[in-house]
Amino acid sequence: MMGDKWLFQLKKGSFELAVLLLLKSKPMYGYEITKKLQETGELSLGGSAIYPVLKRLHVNDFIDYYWADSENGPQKKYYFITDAGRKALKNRMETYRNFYGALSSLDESGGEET
Amino acid sequence: MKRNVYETYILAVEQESDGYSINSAEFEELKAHIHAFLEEHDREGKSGQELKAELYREFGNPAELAQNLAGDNKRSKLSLPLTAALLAAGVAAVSPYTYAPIGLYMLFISSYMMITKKPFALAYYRKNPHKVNNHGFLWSYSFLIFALGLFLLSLEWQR
Repeated sequence: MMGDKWLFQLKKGSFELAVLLLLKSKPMYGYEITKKLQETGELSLGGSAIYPVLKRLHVNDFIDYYWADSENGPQKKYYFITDAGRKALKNRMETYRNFYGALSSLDESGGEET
Repeated sequence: MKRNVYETYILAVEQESDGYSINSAEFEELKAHIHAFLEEHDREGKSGQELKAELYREFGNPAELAQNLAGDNKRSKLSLPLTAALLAAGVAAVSPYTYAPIGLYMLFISSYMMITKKPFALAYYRKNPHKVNNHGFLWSYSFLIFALGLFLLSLEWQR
């Protein structure tokens, strides 16, 4: 039970980072982002669950959007990363690597559990 | 086949959302998502029934989706802090007490922030929700408002 909660929190914290990483290369719309996340397996999101994440990133000015016509369907809302988003991504990835490095170093020095 | 499933589902969501306050831009965005989702499954050669089943599995039935879309708007209509602020101002205006209602309101709002960790009565935190944490300025603000509330109550006591 405790483990599930931990995994849930870990995933929740990783979604923003994952979306920023995806948008770093090109603008994407909601379904496209969801599909890319599903391909990772671990970061899979279903239905409309991506939109609160996108909303949070937009409120924090990390991403912005524009509407574009679609060939055979409704207009699509494309998100792109802002300068503030790039900075946040850089900082967060650095923090993430530091955390991972710190945990790995502990594992190497006496990881009897693994 | 796909167009029929799409239109039927969207129409049902619109009908189910009757009475809710749904953000039209959010709904438009979701329509594009649903359309792309159906297009992809249609390319796999699925029947109308199968497409409908996939759609319900991914987004829930139209009533559930309508409720999800309305969720944020319903919650933000009239918050507890706003109700308390209006109540305090009303009591201060019509009762013989001058400072006590505002003082009590400040005690309430600071306690509310500290207990629930929801400082959204303050415009600063509404615009910067990521700055909510368990230390720093949030607690300084809460303490300051609490102290001001006590001060106003003491003024009322001395009148």
